[in-house]
Amino acid sequence: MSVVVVPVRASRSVASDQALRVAVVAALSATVMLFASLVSAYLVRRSFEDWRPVAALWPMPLMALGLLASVGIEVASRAEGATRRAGLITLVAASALYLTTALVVIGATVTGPRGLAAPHDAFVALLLGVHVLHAVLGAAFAVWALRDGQAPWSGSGERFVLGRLVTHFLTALLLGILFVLFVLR
Amino acid sequence: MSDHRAPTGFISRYVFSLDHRVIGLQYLLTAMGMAILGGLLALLVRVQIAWPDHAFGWVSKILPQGFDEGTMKPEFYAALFTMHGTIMIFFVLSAALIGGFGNYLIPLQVGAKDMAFPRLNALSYWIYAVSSVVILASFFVPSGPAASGWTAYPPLSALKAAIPGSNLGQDLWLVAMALFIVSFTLGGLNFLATILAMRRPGLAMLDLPLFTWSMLFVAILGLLAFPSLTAAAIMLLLDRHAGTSFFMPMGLVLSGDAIPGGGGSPILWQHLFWFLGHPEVYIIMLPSLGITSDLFTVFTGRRVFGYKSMVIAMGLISGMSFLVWGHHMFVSGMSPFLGSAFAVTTTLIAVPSGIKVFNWIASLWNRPLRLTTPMLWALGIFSLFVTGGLSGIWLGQTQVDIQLHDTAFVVAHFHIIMAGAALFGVFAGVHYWFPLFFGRMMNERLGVAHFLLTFVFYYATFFPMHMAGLQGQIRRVYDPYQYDYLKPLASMNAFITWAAIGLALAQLLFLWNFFSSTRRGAKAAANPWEASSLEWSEPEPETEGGTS
Repeated sequence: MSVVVVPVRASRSVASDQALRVAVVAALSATVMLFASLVSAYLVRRSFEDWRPVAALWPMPLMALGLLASVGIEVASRAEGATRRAGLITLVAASALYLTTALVVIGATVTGPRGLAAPHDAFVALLLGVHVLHAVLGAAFAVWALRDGQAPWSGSGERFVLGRLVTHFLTALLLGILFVLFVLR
Repeated sequence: MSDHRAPTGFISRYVFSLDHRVIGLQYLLTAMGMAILGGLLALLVRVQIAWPDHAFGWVSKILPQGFDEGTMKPEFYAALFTMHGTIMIFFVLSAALIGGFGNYLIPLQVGAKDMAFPRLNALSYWIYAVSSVVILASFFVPSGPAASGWTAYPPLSALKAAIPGSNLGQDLWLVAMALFIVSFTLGGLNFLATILAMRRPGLAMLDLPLFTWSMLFVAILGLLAFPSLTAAAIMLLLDRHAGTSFFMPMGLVLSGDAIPGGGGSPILWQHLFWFLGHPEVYIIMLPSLGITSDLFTVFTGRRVFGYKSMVIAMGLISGMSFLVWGHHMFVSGMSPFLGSAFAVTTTLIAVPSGIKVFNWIASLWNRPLRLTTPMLWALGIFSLFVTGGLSGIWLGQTQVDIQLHDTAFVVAHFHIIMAGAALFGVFAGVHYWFPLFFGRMMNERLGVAHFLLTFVFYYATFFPMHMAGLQGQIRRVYDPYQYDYLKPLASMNAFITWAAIGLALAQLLFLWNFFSSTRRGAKAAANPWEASSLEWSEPEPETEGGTS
């Protein structure tokens, strides 16, 4: 094996941005695998005799809030001044409302008359709960990313791009979960 | 990210360090401590198998909860093999090879100043340390540690009242595993980011040592495989504590009482578990295979034969490891067609494995070999990889596996190919990189003696298990001789246990050599093995990590 020694001072920020991008993509891939495992368990479990799925209306507002968060960050990334601020406020408000609503739904499911003994309800609480956990982590990352040291909240930096990616990913994940829970019942 | 100030105090320098080298050694030393415990548990298992009726009064004084008038309790035996497997696979081999060598060597081999995210790296180690404490704590709870095997199959693991180990010990097992997975995930992100984005400018991927390549594949495998165990562990915890029925089947009766609820599938757990479980085999083995290839390069004086095909073979092994999990479940009642599909994918893994073997033969062929201690361990890995690989082809066939499933043959197979090859990789790596770690050499004579004794006793311990398995000896049985047809195997089992004791005693040589050499070993030259990979070169003051 040959030693390659190239004494060139590297651009640390470029390397850091690349490293961050790799780490974020890897983390999202691991998250996809986590949900793929949960969904595969769901698909197996729904084939059993005691499967009694129920319809519900709450997925609609949750879906709307997820989409609103994605729209908010897109607006913030494309616009300037007051419109950008409005986009960011929409993102924060939609995310906060989503977390609150989802926690209320989980709480109602757990303390409901059937508790978690009904397998469909158990999956509602499980999938939504794991998504909420990821949404909290994603929100923390988005706040960190959007406060990019170079140009905070500007929408131009690499970290902002990653913040957008994470937000859209979480929205897509939510849509996927709701599809599985209420369309593939 | 990779920017952190040099620590000054003892605590920040050696305990809560951000330096990848210190973190690597922390992993290595913690794993060594866990290995001693895991090894002692294995000895207790072996003693019980060889002499199940013998009373060991002195052991019962040390572990009173596990013995009844000097005789081991069956539930304690189950706890022993459960904790042995769990500790060795996750807390020793994964931690030492990946956490230890990976952390220490990846930045050096890619020419970076440190890992991409040093704080995340330190966090990863400390989460691993906490998970080790949690798993150890389970020995001290009144109901004892988990006893449902390292595979934690429900309903044994889901029913708290099934056996004593199914109680709090199983919860601690699940929590420890969850923490371990978090630690591994953080480490994996760091490895990927460092290898792909922090390489020294001009250093191409195909200039990297095969050990670093193995770490890249291991990180990918871990990130994609561990989530399925995370999902399964969450569901099992909910089954145990929240009244769900993901894995709990209907109609269970325990001590005459019907268990309410249920309706789930224990087989579902097996699928989710083995979707991690089989890639985990390669997570443990690939670093050893990478080390072997790199040592062949150094000690034959020529780059390992077929470097690119070695990389491709590791990639193929990694990819295919996601397609073979069903071969652990041939007897679970799966459709014969599905079983055949898994048998085919399992057999196909022999192709990239064969590429590695033939490349190694070509690397050694007609070359002057420097038979140093690290090289001997590398040759040992080669031997174990071939021996264990051949029995793996047997077990990959449904017709054979149905006969041999859950027998000592399987125990022989995985201890040789997975545990042995990985363990020998740890020894190879420690001997080879010891001068880098501590600036001193390990004693060569002691090293050679340790290798020879370990090699002989390892085969003496595990090879006869093939024969025991072929004669029908089932694994995880507290007293094999309760079955008349196994009574003729008593002397073979006694031989295996004596060999295991010899194997354990041989490790004292290593411990002595390791710790005495840190203080009294001969001062090492800057590049004592005349290697050409970057970790042995003088650090470049200008290098700050970067991209090529």
